[in-house]
Amino acid sequence: MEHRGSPLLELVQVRQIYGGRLVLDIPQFRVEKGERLVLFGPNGAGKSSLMRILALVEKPVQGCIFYQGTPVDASNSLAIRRRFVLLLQKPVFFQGTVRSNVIYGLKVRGLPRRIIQSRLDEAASMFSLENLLDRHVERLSGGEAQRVNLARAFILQPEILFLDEPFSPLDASARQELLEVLRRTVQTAQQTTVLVTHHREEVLLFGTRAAVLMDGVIRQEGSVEEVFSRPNSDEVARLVGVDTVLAGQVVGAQDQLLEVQIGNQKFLVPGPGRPHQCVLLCIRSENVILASRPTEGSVRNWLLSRIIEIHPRERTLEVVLDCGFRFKAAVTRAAWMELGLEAGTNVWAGIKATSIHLISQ
Amino acid sequence: MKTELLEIVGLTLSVSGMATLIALALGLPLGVLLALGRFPGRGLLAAMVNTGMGLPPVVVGLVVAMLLWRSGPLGQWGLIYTPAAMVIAQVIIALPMVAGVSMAGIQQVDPMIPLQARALGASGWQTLWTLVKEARLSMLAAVMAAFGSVISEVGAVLMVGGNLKGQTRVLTTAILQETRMGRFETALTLAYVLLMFTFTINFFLTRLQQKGVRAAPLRWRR
Amino acid sequence: MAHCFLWSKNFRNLLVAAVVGLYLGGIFGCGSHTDQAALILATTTSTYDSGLLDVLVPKFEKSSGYRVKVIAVGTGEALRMGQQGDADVLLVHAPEAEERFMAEGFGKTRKPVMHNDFVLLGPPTDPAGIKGEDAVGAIKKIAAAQSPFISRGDNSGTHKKELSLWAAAGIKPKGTWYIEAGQGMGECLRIAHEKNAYLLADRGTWLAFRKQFSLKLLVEGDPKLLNPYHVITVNPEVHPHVNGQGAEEFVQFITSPPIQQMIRQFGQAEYGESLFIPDALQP
Repeated sequence: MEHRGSPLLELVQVRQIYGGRLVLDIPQFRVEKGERLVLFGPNGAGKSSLMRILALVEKPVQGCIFYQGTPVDASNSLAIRRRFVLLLQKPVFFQGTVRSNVIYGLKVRGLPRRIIQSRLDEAASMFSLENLLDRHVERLSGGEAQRVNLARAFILQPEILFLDEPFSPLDASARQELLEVLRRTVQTAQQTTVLVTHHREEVLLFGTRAAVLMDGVIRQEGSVEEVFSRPNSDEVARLVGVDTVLAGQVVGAQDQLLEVQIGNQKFLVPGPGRPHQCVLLCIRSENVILASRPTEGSVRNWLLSRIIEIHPRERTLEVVLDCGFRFKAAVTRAAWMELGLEAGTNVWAGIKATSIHLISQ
Repeated sequence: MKTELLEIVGLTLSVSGMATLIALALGLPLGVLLALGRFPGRGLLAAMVNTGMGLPPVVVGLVVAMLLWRSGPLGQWGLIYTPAAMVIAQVIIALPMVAGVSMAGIQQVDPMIPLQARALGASGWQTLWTLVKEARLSMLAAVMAAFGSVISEVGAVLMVGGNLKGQTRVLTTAILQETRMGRFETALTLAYVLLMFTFTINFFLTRLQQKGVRAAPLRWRR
Repeated sequence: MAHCFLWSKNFRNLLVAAVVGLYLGGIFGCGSHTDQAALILATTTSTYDSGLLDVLVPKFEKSSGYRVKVIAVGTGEALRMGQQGDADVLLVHAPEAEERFMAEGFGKTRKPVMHNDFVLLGPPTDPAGIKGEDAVGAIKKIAAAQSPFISRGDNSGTHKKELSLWAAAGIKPKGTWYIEAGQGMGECLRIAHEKNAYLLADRGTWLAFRKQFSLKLLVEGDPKLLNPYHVITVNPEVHPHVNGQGAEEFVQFITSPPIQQMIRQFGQAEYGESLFIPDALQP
């Protein structure tokens, strides 16, 4: 048997049932020391439930949890749980002052007053709470509440920090800004962190590793880079922001590339694959270039397409194209002006073979 | 008369205070259990508590008296016509009130509070205690409502205490007797003292509730 | 059509007006009716509790046409009600207070009706050894032995009788053995039973309750223990609004030979002895 260092936390054969419905079915799952793991998936996928089980605040109906190789049971679960902290989606405060909320975790751990005070001073300066300590939590603004929430987690110096859709009451830009600060903080401290989110930009912004959850099942797990560039299914592909997923069949090979037939068109894409195999091609719109005629160079796939619709986006224009099937391209406004195109006209769409991700069916 | 009045007031406060404390010690865990527990018979018990909140004190008095009479099943304890008997009767009156109000109070607490407490490392008991503290306004209301009701209760204490001068005479039974004897001035004085107590209690109760209303918006904003 | 009328607004208003009218009429109509045909009888709780009035009052109501309201209070309160004109006729048992009441002109007619007597009761073991003593001797022994003694302590006729005994004995009862209950006779019997204490009780209540309690009758028959009841009409010259006519009719009624005979027979079937001895026929 191959020997590997025990992961910090490991789930084996875990199932959770709410109201008779199976909401989580995890044959195996690990949290490794020092990683920033993101649990990513649509709403209702079981992310929060999985996180609560990992944080030991919720018991699964079935399965085992190992902490550094030791099974978690009734005798050690409190002690292990106290090595973790979980912050909920919306900060839930206990009635009282900011101070009493920040030191809550230290108090329940029965730490001496002296240590509580010094940790409080530390946390207060870290999150600029010095002037808020005696304020009642009812009177905090949204941003202040988030800082207090973070302070009461960091003050515990947890081995694993669990964040369930943090800052969700804030607007997108404020949320990303806080998350960026948080990433820098935990990165510097090599803090093991598990984050739950359904925003893909947060996965990219924060994580080193991602696990994609759908309907209570982990559909894909790997480095953030891998999950985003090499999704293993149609659903995951769409979740990580692939605009176009096309179904086709391998018809041949050419220059170490596979030839895939979709409708009347043939694509050259990197393997692996067998002849007659059904495959999915994932094409991100930003990897599609538009030109008035095919150019020489590294672009191997040129499709003469008709422009159907144009959707303005923040940085680019999203162009819906048709060449027997529909797909999307993203072009800058400058490029668009240069080409002088409009809906109903034809254009050449170029796609590099290496930018197409192939999913074997 | 003055020392007698002090004696009556002292006994009134100590009997009702003791009864309230005992009712709290028993009713609070019961209320918490009813609010959080999931066990067979919970619904029945909750219904009994709610019924008990409207239990006529005279009925309590009759039942307790019959139990404590020398001929009754608990007669050998020799408690009838003693302050202890009055405490017992008042505990029975106050207990459902404390249990019922604390049950409702706990149920009103944000359901995420126990999860948050556990997430920050609280043990089972610490979580429970946090929950009770979150419901402390209701708890305080329960205590004061219980004290207010037992201190102004007359039927049960008369039946089990006997209104014995210097032994079991409390404000309410004294008022009743003075009225029967036609000594309205004394009765009014006693009534005034009793009213002062109940007013003071309700004054603080109302202030607490108002404070609770002020403190609530954050929780309701969600 | 009828349905429409029933639920029309006019009809409902009419209905409301009628109900309110009837209700107010009932209240005030009754008020005025009281002056005409109601008679307020203030009596003591012990008389009321004996059940005698439940027998006599319906008879009087039938023969006279008055409606009688019996108010059961302590003797002191009954006399005060008479003094303030809150009652029309009194049936009480506190001779000295009654005489003062008459002397002050609050009463018009006062006639003896009946008497019963008080008895001294105590635990069967009789720890103070009062059996065979007269009333005053008995309570002296109780005080000397400091045996628990239950006093009504409520200014009632029974309480006054007890206080007069203590006065005759020259003792001011005080101490933990002397328990002032401040409740009715029945409750006091219960307390004495539970606490193994002595007490003074009227014979009627004792007879009614004796089966329930372990108390024993220890002293009886002393003339000092007699308890005479008088009927007194409130003086209409002091309080013109009282029902003087009805009150006089009630005196006539209760002192009449057939009623006096009924008083003698009252309770015999149940207790084997008379609860009250009629006095009106004897000179």
